Amino acid sequence: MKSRPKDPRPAEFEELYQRHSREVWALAYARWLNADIAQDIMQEAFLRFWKQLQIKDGEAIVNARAWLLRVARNLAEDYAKSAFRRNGTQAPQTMNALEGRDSGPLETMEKDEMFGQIRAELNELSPTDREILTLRYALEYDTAKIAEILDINATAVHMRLSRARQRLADRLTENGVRETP
Amino acid sequence: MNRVQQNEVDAVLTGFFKSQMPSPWPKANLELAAPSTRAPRAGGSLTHARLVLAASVLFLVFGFLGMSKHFQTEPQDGVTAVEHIANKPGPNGALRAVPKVQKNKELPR
Repeated sequence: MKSRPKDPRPAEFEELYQRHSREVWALAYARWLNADIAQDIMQEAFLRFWKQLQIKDGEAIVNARAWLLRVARNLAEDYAKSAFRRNGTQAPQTMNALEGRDSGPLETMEKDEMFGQIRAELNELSPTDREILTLRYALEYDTAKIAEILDINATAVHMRLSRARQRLADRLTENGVRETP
Repeated sequence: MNRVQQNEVDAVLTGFFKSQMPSPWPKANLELAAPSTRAPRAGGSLTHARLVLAASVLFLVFGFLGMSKHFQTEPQDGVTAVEHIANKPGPNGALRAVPKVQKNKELPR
């Protein structure tokens, strides 16, 4: 077992947060496609991480990133059982495909429609495909880095990514959706 | 029908996912994560509480033993309480006729 740091400092915690919080958010987002839920899960994961560091006789965290990602995944799964979801309450962002921006009403409507279709298509994909797409497009990670985070083969990531993109291109073509300039 | 190209899909997906990300990125919630500001418990207070508890238990045990000796009704030498009472003379000096009770045997219901 790795030796535990004597007194984990907030500065070290902050550094780990800066380094890994986006990845934690991305995995949580891929599960529910909801930014608010993803943010809650991310904060809860880091809170548990900090508490784990505080336990004097607890098991040391050897790989902070792996620990955080595993906890985020578990929390995202547990979210399905939470009272918030059982009560059928959904964050406003789920209802509306896009939060308000400074663009005009017509442009906003077009974007809402397109993003709504993307969300519907993403919901049809497997959780792993959603994780790959989120890491690729939200965090701009390359295939190798995605493979490392998800602990899968880089070729598999490439294939899954190509297939998901193709599928989305087909669906968007069917629905006559094109990117708004 | 105009086919949506892969680069257009990339642009659409990038736009979608970027729009979902919190902006600005939330700071680490150190208020929640910070260690408790509550004053640490004094070192001796737990020991003191244990000593008080032990003394209370000892007091109860010795109190029970002392009281039970004071109110003892069962005489020594293997004589049961019933036999003890039966052997005592009544108000007129005569012994009472009490049937002998066998020890450790269940009485018929």
